[in-house]
Amino acid sequence: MSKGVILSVAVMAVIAINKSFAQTTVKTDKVKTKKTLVLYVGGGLANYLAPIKIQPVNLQNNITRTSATGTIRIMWHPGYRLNLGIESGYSNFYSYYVKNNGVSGKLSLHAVPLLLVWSMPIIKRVNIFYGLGSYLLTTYLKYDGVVKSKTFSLGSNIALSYTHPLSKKLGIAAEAKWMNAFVTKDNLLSLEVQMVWKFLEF
Amino acid sequence: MKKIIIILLLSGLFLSCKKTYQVIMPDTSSWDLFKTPVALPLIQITRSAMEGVYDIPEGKDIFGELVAIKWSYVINNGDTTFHISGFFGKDIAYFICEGKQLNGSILMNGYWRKMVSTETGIMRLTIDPTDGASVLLTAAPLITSGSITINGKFGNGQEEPQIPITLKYKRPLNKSPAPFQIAAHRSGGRTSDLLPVSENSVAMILKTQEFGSTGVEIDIRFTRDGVPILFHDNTLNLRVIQKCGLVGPIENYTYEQLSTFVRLTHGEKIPTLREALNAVVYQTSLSFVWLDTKYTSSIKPVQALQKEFIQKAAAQGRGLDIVIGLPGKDQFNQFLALPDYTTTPALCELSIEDVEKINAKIWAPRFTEGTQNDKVAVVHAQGRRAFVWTVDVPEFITRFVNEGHFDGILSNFPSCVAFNYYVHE
Amino acid sequence: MVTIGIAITTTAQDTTFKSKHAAIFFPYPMYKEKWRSSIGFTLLTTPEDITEETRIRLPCGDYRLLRKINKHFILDNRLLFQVLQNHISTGIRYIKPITDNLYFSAGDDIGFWFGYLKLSGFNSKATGWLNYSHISLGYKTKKNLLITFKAQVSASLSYQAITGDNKVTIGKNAYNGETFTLAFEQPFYNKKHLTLAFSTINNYFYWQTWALFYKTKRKIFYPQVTVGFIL
Repeated sequence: MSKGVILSVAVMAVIAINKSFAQTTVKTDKVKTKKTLVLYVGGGLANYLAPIKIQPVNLQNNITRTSATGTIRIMWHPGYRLNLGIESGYSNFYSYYVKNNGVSGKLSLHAVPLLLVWSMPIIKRVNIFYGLGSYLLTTYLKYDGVVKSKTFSLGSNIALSYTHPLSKKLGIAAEAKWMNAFVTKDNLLSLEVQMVWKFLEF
Repeated sequence: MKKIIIILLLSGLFLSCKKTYQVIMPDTSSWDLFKTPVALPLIQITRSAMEGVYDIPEGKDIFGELVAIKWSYVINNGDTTFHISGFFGKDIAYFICEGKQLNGSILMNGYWRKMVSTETGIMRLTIDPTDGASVLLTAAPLITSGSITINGKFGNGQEEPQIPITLKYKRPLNKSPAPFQIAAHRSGGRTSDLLPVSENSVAMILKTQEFGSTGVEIDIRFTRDGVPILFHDNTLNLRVIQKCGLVGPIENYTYEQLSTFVRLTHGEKIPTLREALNAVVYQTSLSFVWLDTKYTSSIKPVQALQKEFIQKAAAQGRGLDIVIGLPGKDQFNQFLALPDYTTTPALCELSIEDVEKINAKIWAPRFTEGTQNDKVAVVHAQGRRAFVWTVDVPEFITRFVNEGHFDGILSNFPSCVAFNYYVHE
Repeated sequence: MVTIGIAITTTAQDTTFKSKHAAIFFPYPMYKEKWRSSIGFTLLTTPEDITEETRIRLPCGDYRLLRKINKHFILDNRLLFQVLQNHISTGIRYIKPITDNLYFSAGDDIGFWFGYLKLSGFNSKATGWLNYSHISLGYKTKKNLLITFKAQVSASLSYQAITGDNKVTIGKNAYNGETFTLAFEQPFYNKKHLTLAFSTINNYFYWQTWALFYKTKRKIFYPQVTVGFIL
């Protein structure tokens, strides 16, 4: 076993030394590509899709799953197919009222995505986005006092967007997005209208 | 472009291909013979005589060479329920059955489970009169090697049991060193091990003896209004609770809020420490409780409950150790702030010097330090005990039992510790 | 042996692929260069089964070094490093262009991992050998984006763990699980190429979690992201 280790280390060492003497022959293409920064801002309606098992159980039908949602996203287009950016926004996942032993209350769960996003065009004017990162979740609870409690959940989103150009730098987009906070098992489907602004080109 | 879309769709598929594991507890109620009204409960003498180490002449390929058989009980609303458990040496397997006598035979009906996987199924066992039942059902059974043969069948999942198994009495259970604590983590077992009840619940405390435990470690936190409760994690999360909309630290919420909105994975409420200790004292025969300190505030409220329930256990004639666990320096310093800390039973995970400083009853190092027999000897010489935590790898459990000198092992797999301890020669 | 067999029975016809398509995952031959390397990191999410509420681990450094053997074969070396636990592997990849846009490769790697932890009550170290067999299918888009789908199976050849004076050795050639990776590679900035890969690892044992001493016969799911900058 130890001979194997030594052999592996030796192979890597030899390769590494060779590498330092090797001439890299890669030549990247000389074509100048335009790089742009694009801002997406918009909002719409969202519907919470994941199951919830709230207590007391007789309140299962009391859950509000549809609410307003908003997105802000900045994408860097390096001039090739794959683009990179960051995304945030705001969504209300769900809320419900509770009445227990004569005491009334309300609970709602909100989310702010903090995602690294990749996108690429798949057909003309249609882009697909994939985000990966965290959701900052906040519980607002009014029952036996008021509580505002936060946590992070790893998560992702995937969106399909159609952009209609209004001018050289401005456009309007319709976007369908599926958000998934996978640690807390929260899923949301949103439909949004967004302004698209190519605000920097170099 | 179509190709890209196909690739993206494929990628979506494979990125969502996480397999969800679950263990569906088999329904054991279909054995008509066991349900017959003329079947009687077994008496204490019979139950005690059945305990022992058994060879497995048939079924060893599934369960290993030996099984350690032991009874346990819980009390619910004044009724005592007995379970017979068999702890196997392979794949952290066990069976848990109820027992009855019928027409001179002994019947055992229940299920088996392997903790390393999701395998489970029905187990039905019988001791015929000529296989030892007639001796076991006497007033003074004399049991020798080979004098009891348990025959039975087991199945996979919900299927009717058809695979034969035979167990043959070999020798009594090992009881050395004594007392030896088989302490179960999270009040008896982890939710992630797909057990039928939730970790840190009263239901788990009532179940853990079936898994071989003689003691439990329970995790204590405080609610916003100062109620000590059982909860392990820093935050409310779906590993241990059902989705309810409450997120963040459990300390942000009052007990009333948690009690109203939160249910553990299998539907139980988060118990208070008082409810948990009540269950230990009045419903089980557990002899050890490790109150693991997951908070850094004052230990006084927990100390008060510790004192109260040590007295209650003594009043019941119960030999019950309740110790306050000190995992870090913050908790250690809080413990030092107690006016009577030298007489408060404690379990210290820090150095032996720290153990001496607070006169802790138990020193408990992490298993990754090894057997440390020299240090254990020092602790023993001071009249203290030594426990090791949290040992889950079967090979390590075997080594700690066979080569270590610890007085107790904390594990998520108490059945594995029980097997190794009871079969140890 | 399988890959050598394929090599003998096939011939490469690709002449259109240009060196601008520098890639690590994408299975195309190294026509003009002898060496190619990338530096980056992997980010693994650990499951609640073994790390409970803590769901993210420190990134793991990732150095890849490819060496051309001939136009069909390359030597693929990889070092994954987290200081206290590291993984080194080497293997051979056979590469076959199918069309101008579609490429295939098959290969086998042998990996050795070792971990060492001596703090906070730990006195542990562990080592192990793993074998990885894999195939990849790559598609080149018109805009220089290289998309690779890689399927890999691994076998645990041996495992040895020592905690204090306790030593456990398990030597077996057990099937350990499968990994699927979707990798994107393209030029990005300042003539550099970027690798971005998403993997789903379904393993009984994953070397980065050795210190948790988690052993069951349940496969555990680990999603992983790999980011690499091709040097």
